[in-house]
Amino acid sequence: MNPLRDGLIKERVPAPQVMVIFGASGDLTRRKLLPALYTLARERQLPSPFSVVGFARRPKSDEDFRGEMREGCDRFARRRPVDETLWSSFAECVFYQQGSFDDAAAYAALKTRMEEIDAKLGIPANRLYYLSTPPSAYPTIIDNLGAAGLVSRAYEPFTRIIVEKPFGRDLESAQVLNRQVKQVFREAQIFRIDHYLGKETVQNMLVFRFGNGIFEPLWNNRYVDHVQITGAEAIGVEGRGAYYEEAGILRDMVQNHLFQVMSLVGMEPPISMDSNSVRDEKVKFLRSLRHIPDGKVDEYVVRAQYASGHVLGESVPGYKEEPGVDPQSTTETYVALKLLVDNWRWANVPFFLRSSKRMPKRVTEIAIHFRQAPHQLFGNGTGKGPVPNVLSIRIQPNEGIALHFGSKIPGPTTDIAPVNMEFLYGTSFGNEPPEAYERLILDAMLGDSTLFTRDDEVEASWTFITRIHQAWAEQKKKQIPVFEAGSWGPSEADELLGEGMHWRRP
Amino acid sequence: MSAVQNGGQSAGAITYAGGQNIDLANVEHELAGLWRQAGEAAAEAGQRSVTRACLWNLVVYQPPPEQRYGRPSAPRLLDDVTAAVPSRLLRLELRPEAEAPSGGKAVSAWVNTKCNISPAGGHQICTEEIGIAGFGRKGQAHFPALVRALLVPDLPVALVWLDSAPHKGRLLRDLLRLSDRILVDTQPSAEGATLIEVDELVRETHAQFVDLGWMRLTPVRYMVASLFDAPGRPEQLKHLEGIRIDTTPSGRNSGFLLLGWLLSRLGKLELSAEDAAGREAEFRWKIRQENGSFPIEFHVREGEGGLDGLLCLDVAAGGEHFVLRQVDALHVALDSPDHGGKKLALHGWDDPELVVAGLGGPGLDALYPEALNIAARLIGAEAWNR
Ligand SMILES: NC(=O)c1ccc[n+]([C@@H]2O[C@H](COP(=O)([O-])OP(=O)(O)OC[C@H]3O[C@@H](n4cnc5c(N)ncnc54)[C@H](OP(=O)(O)O)[C@@H]3O)[C@@H](O)[C@H]2O)c1
Repeated sequence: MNPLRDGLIKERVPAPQVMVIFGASGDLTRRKLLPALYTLARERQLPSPFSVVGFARRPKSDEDFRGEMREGCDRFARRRPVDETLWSSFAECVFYQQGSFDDAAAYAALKTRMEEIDAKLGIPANRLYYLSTPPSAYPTIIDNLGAAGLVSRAYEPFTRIIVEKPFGRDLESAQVLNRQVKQVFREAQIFRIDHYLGKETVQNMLVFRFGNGIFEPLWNNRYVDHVQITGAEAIGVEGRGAYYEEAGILRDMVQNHLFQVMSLVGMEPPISMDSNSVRDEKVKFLRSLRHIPDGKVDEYVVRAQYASGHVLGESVPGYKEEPGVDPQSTTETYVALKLLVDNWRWANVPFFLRSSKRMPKRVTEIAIHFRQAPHQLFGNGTGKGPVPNVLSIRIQPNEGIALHFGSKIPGPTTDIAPVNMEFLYGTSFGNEPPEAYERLILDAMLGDSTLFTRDDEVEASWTFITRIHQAWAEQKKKQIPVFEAGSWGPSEADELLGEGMHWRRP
Repeated sequence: MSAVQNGGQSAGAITYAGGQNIDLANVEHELAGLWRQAGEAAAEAGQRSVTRACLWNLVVYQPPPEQRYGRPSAPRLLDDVTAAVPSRLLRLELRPEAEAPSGGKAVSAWVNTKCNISPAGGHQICTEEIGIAGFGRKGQAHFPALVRALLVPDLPVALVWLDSAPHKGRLLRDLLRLSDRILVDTQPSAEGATLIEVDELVRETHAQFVDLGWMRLTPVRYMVASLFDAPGRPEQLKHLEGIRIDTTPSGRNSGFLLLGWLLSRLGKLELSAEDAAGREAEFRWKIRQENGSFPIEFHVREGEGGLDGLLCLDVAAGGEHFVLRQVDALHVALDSPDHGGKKLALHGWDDPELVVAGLGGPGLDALYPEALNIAARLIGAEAWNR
């Protein structure tokens, strides 16, 4: 052990490594990955030395690639304007390697390239691969990496792989993919990314619940009436109609993002914050979701499509009119679910989830609705009575937490009005929270998989979601409900909620 | 009261200046008036609300000009800091007695509010500043009680003592008693004695010491550590043959702290000072290690040191040299059997970033007291045995 390293480790600086991005000419690399790396460099969180190699099919020089990435950083990096001096030293370590995913020779060339970089910069053969490609390419790349001797299962030097979403399209394909990737990598080397887990507010869920003494005692069926989780987008399918036809919002948003958020809300306290303890509890929660009884899917799940309408000042077409979409399509762009949890804490507390394209605005939030006070003293019969207490946790935009409660209206009566006690990240902490990708890439560089999805978690959520898809397939419906774009969804969704309940207007 | 757009500070900041020379019993009231003014101005401009956010009480001490380091002053630095860490700023300015306003008052106060548009959506985040000028010794005596009265309850207190070396006077001790954390900067002090005083303070007080001079060394410490990562290299540290360190005149204290850190990691050592007369070196010591003894030489010369003023560290061990050398303001080179002159970019943090980091982390770096103590002993040429 190097005694000079004593006490330095806690600063979370990753070991020197080469990162290879497969699919580096794609959108994600330009918009998110390179800007995140640049910002990490700006914040001195990148390892030193470090290098990133972009791998994709089109021929291009290192210089071309650097130029494109610079443009991406100019537009999308969190810390802008880009610092010239910093960029020039960062760009010196950015390279491009042309090759096709199915060409073994390309991997041999990649190997040679990385060895040259190792020698030049003094990197001890640590590797971080990032699969930012169409999911159909994952198995080919993984197999080729293995066959080319580019994967070491050793702890040092390490090899890790980040796999983008979607991880499978149903239980079976997720299981197959898990098997494929685990033939080459150990589970601890695999980082299945769900960028929602990189969001500051999502991580704050753990701190909020388990770092404060006052909330957890209320976090159960004695005090909580129900939970609503909303993942709304204002955008439509953005020209990706053909992709969306195959996906649908249940796969695209619920199976991964909303289920991850829900499991952080619902899980039991982990025994420690290490990656496996946290994920053990999340899986346990997902496994305690009550399966929807056969033939009853419509009582628990509402699916719909947006029709034409108006969103944020624009007139927008309906889903079926989008390019690439089958005019007879029954693919859902809206889904609402009622989920019951069979465990001690959440017995009889429904979790309502909804997600949709073309809602009035983009918002992701969790709302914990508390029970009413047991005995009502105020506002009897006046309609100005108690206000339900709601704790809303806003994941995006304007990350923050608000507690909604009733307060006496000043004056001689005891009328009650709803008021908010609010904490906003952007105003309590002046600096912007890091982008999700910054945090997640850094964690993968450090080998910390707490915020990544484990194999059993992916399979547990697919187990639940695939049953819904199967039930829908059996229904063979010719059409599903529609709602006007720019509204909060179809009226059918209101019926999922019980008597006297309604969806929050986030 | 008046609003000053971009009043000489960070872009986008608006200052709402309250009265000068206000009644000290009325400070909170004056501030409330400024908040209202800021809120109304935001509403008129069609902006979202003004948020009175506060994470820290920052007590900033500004000594008279002749005692200052001669760098941008702490209040200016804090304009950048408070845009990221909304705070209540209590600015204590010590002025000569002769400047006291007529009427014989030993202190006077003013308030203002500085607002920055939040990056997260249109809110103005404002930091409130309460300035207190104390005239001469009598004025200074009022500072602690005023600070006690003006702190925001339940929030931590950081004493920002960046404009001069922290001398162990009554004022510092009194203010330290009220503080959870103190930010000092030992690097700009030309005096090695500063490290000796800070060392004593660190051991005597409960407040956590955040030394910007130490924080500047963080990237260097990582690089020096990396010289000994390869298998077998740690073993060579047990057979040291000599250490030479070169700094610029303004980097002396960085050099001492770096040496202090290095020696603190090496296990059992004995030190004695040696006469440097007749050598180029400014200081010379002899260290006895388990396996023999080795000299340390400290050289001070002009050169392009980075932010910390370090020029070179050369560790001779097990028959080989492990060297970290400043190449230019932004690069260092690592020369060792494993690194062969590898040039690395060195991105130092600027001072506002250091302060934000110093307020953000856990406070005291566990390695600091030990490194500081050894640095102090080196300076004091105090023989020791550890
Ligand atoms: N875009 C987003 O914001 C976003 C958000 C979340 C998740 N994701 C996920 O991230 C992944 C990547 O997204 P993306 O939008 O960046 O994808 P994309 O724009 O479609 O890019 C795909 C990349 O793969 C390369 N490629 C495809 N086939 C290849 C082959 N046979 N050989 C070599 N290179 C090949 C392409 O290279 P050439 O162009 O050179 O052919 C291109 O660089 C996907 O899994 C997506 O689901 C994306």
